[in-house]
Amino acid sequence: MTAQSAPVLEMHELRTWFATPEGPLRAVDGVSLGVEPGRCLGVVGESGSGKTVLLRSIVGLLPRRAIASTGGTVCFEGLELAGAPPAVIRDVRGRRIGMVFQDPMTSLNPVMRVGTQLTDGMRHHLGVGRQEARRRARALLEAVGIPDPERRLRDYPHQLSGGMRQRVTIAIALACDPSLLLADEPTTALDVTVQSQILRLLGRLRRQRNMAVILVTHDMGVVAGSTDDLAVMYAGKVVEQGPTATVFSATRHPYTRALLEAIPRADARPGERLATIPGQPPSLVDPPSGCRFAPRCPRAADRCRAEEPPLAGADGHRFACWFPLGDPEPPAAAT
Amino acid sequence: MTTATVEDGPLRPGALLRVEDVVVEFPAPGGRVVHAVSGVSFDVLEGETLGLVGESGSGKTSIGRAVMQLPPPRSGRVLLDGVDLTTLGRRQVRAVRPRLQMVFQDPLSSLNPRRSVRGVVGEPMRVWNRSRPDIDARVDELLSAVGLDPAAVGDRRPSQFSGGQCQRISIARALVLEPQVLVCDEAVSSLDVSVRAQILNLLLDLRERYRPTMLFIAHDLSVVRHISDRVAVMYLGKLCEIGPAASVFGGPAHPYTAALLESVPVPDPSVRPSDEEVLDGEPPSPVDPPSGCRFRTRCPRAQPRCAEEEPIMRAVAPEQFVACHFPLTAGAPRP
Ligand SMILES: Nc1ncnc2c1ncn2[C@@H]1O[C@H](COP(=O)(O)OP(=O)(O)OP(=O)(O)O)[C@@H](O)[C@H]1O
Ligand SMILES: Nc1ncnc2c1ncn2[C@@H]1O[C@H](COP(=O)(O)OP(=O)(O)OP(=O)(O)O)[C@@H](O)[C@H]1O
Ligand code: SF4
Ligand SMILES: [Mg+2]
Ligand SMILES: [Mg+2]
Repeated sequence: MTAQSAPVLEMHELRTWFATPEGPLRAVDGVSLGVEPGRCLGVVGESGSGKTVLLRSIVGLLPRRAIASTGGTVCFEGLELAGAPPAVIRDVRGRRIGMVFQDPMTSLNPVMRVGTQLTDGMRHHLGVGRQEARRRARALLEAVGIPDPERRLRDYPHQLSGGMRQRVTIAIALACDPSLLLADEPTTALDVTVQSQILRLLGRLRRQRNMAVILVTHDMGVVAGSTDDLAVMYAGKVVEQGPTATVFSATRHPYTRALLEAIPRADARPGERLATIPGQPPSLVDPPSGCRFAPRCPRAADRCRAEEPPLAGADGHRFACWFPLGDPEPPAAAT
Repeated sequence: MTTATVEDGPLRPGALLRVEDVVVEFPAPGGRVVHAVSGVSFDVLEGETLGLVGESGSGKTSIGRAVMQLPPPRSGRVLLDGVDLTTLGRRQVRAVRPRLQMVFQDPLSSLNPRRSVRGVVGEPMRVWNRSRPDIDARVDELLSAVGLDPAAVGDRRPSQFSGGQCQRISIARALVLEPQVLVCDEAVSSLDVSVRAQILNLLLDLRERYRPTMLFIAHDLSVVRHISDRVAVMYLGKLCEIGPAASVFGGPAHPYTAALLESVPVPDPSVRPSDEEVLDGEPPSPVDPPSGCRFRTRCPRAQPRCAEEEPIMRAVAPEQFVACHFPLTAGAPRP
């Protein structure tokens, strides 16, 4: 592997619990991850595993009233974001950290022209003049592959197709030349041909600008083709993490393997049954003791139900499992 | 019935379901017309599964609904066992309805939230005045067949179930009248990979057990490849290609099919997508579709002839048909 520079972002034991009538819901429960300039970190996991809450926790974009407690640290370019005054976070957000979410309509203002939405951030954060902002906006739209940018600047979001809207939100996210881009399922709502265009675009822009990207997705294909590093989340925790190629080829956590085996592979016999994960994701209000995956894990033994496995490993590949794949099977499961 | 000729394109004698030259249109603002489906023909043999793929807005749902007569197509014929459903009156359509059932994309919204699971699944039988003990026995059988315990879930309401469980309930409901034809419209698209694997396995089991004839609509190509005997590819209201799943996926003849397959992200980090765009642009509007071949505005092989003359379906391999002047097959004319 090449020498790595200092991370742009480093989270340590990040925690976000929501207040619910049943008690605190541990949406993100002690996550430590980092991402270096120019690299793409993928975050995968089942629905409800905490991917979106993790991204939103980084930039403080969560409803304050819903939060029961938070903890941990988020260090962004030497600046501590966790617990920073709202004005500081607001300044970082949209300028040095760009954001793209799944549904472009929720991040675009429906009654504002595309041009205004693109130039507002630049004028506010960078203090550039009207003309200059306009010029940069045109260049950005061109960079994200929108033909006839001059006309598009005057359009409202509803006048654009889904793929074009997502390109516009990417252009807005990039307007102030951020060093980190947070992308939450940016292509889930799009067709595969448009998805492949957007992913290639993100890859190109990341390399050109040496920008770090955190890409949340539940598509293992997207992860394989677009990320350098990968974090697998289960029930609010990272269960396995490392270089994407290593996590795929030398999978250690049983949950990661289950996720990989549940997708139909091109070389499978037609009609072959797929591997499934028995049971359902656990309650985040009252999570199982020990390893949270134990109730569904084929390798689970007594120790798994009693003690929580730490996220540990070597060479940047870490996993939270007492009996990882590749090690001998635990006594209970071997019988 | 006539035997299949080149003019018949892909149609085969003796098919259980035969869709002939179906046209579906919707009114658009300004007195214009959305050409959702423009003369599509295909058939499905008894017990066969036909996968229908294509970009968003290509007309997949519109075809599914036309088959169901919900509403009947604007023109063309839909033959079930040789009977043209489009010529039947309302009462007659009602009489054949039990033989055709559809499973919709959004499991929760297609189930009545005020009814118990038992009530929801048994409702189609009650409409047909089946006797109470018959209904109870059949509902129990189907709930078990879809992997739910009738005693435990029968009296609960759909809102108390997860997305995957609701999809099981709607599949049980669709099968309760032993339909000959089952239309699944994006039945697994909104589900998590692990739940999706469970539902796909369930459909494979049910297919072995009840041999329904299936039209399986989905935009996820890996899923379609896994479950289909044959595959039909749509683009902007037209069929581009149809044939055995292995032929279409293994040797796509239409440039659009090839682009679609190339756009699918491969869940293998050693296969890195190239930086080159597979396909430029986005689908044109179905209100004003391009002349000639509808794919020509994005097609890398397009020639002047493609704008002037609409390509007709013709055989390129045994059972494999394509509508393209310059298909990607050995021996075909090169542009
Ligand atoms: N405002 C909130 N109040 C209470 N609970 C919340 C809130 N937002 C999210 N949650 C809960 O936090 C957990 C994690 O949610 P999150 O949206 O991060 O999941 P996700 O991994 O992004 O899932 P998906 O793949 O479906 O987007 C879920 O159990 C969710 O119900
Ligand atoms: N009720 C309607 N009124 C007007 N236009 C409609 C209506 N239903 C569908 N359309 C249009 O008809 C075309 C085909 O739509 P259809 O829903 O059949 O596509 P699809 O292939 O199922 O797409 P998706 O993958 O997004 O579900 C689209 O352009 C759509 O906008
Ligand atoms: S007919 Fe022409 S435009 Fe259409 S797919 Fe074939 S080569 Fe491309
Ligand atoms: Mg999410
Ligand atoms: Mg549809």
